[in-house]
Amino acid sequence: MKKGNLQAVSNTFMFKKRLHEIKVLRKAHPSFFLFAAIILILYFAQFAARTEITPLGYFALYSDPMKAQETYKQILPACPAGSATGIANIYKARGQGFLMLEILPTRYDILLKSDHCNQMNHRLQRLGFHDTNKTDCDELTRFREWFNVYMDRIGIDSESCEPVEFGFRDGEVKTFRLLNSTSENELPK
Amino acid sequence: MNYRSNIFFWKRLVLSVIALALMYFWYSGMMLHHIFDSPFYYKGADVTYWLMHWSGLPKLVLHNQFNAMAFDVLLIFSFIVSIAFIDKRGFTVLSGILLLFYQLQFNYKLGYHTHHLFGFHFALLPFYFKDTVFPHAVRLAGMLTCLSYAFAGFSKLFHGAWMVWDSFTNVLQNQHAAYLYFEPDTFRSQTVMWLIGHPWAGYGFFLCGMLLQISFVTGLLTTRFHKWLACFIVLFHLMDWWLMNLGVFMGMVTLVWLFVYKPLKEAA
Repeated sequence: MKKGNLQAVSNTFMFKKRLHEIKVLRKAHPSFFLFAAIILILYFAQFAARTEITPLGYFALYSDPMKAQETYKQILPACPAGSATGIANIYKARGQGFLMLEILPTRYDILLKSDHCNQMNHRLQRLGFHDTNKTDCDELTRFREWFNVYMDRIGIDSESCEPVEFGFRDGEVKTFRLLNSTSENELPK
Repeated sequence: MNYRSNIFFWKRLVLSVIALALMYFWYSGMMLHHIFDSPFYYKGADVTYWLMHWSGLPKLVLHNQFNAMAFDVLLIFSFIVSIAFIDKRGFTVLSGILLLFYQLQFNYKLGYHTHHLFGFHFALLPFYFKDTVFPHAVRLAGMLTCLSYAFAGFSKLFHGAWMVWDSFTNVLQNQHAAYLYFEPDTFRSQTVMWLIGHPWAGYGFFLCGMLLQISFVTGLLTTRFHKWLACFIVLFHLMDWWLMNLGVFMGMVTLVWLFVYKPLKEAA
């Protein structure tokens, strides 16, 4: 790189100027400086721990490579309960309601399979803690009933729905799995 | 327009967007009174949720639907009051605290750490401070925003999603599995299907998204490229909404103001 270009980069980022500004800020507004330092330290601690330890946000969505699958799974309400064919169209929900109808049954399935029904328990253990609560799993037993109440509450007529995991491929339903079961079934044609 | 009225213009804009977003969340069934009695108690590995759980606050606010609805009304009302009394910093701080409580309790009962309010918190942050500190607070909020995007970009880089050329195509299939079944004829479905059929185009989109996110590193060092970063935020979240159908558009696009705000010269 030519000397002139280096100078341009240096001028752009003005490291010395920035350092000077920080020193001035520390003297002029010490309480704000402390607030900013705490926030930034917390933020970097979160990045270092590679997990959410504050509500500030930690974004690592879609970072891991995803391989092609036979079917792509999505947990959706099937109505009436016990039927695997009547999938409720969650995209008919008002506004962003479909996101709730995607997230809630998915969380139920994930939490049900997690240690002490805390999906982050392994990360807590990595930080030296352990969630040993005995109530969260008991509470999950009322999910199915509550989910119907919630659907009614947001204006989706649901006499009796239950969350079922469906396997989709090219816009068609291929498989289903009841959440209390480990076996996957082909959808009857 | 003088220094303060310039700040008030941006403040009104940010507060109004948040108030409208909250009303939209109400319409979408995403307020506390909709999920106050869910069987979830998310705490994760986040110390804030544990502190809130131990404090007993959720037992008070989420005790019944009336309490939860009263909180939801208070939250939206606080933003309206903050707009009406734009020069009273205390109301804005109160609105921010209530928004944080809403976020914590919403996630607690959703069983998941959602990020749809993240942008609002950073966008509001400068308005908590006095005029003398305000420009520094704008810079801090801008830096936090840049850190978040850059970290997300580097996360993609190091975790290797960009090294698998059909990864994004598979993500699209997974993300829209049910959408393609229910709404196959919409323009979004057609776009997604085209990208699934042309994995290299999907790969190009993913790579561009990752590079856009990494480019936020420049915002940590200089304000020279801030207008570009503002455009990147809008572009990134438009594509995010269009291709991934995620619900973070309003929250994140509100952050743009941090990158286009300039204090008026007379205040310097």
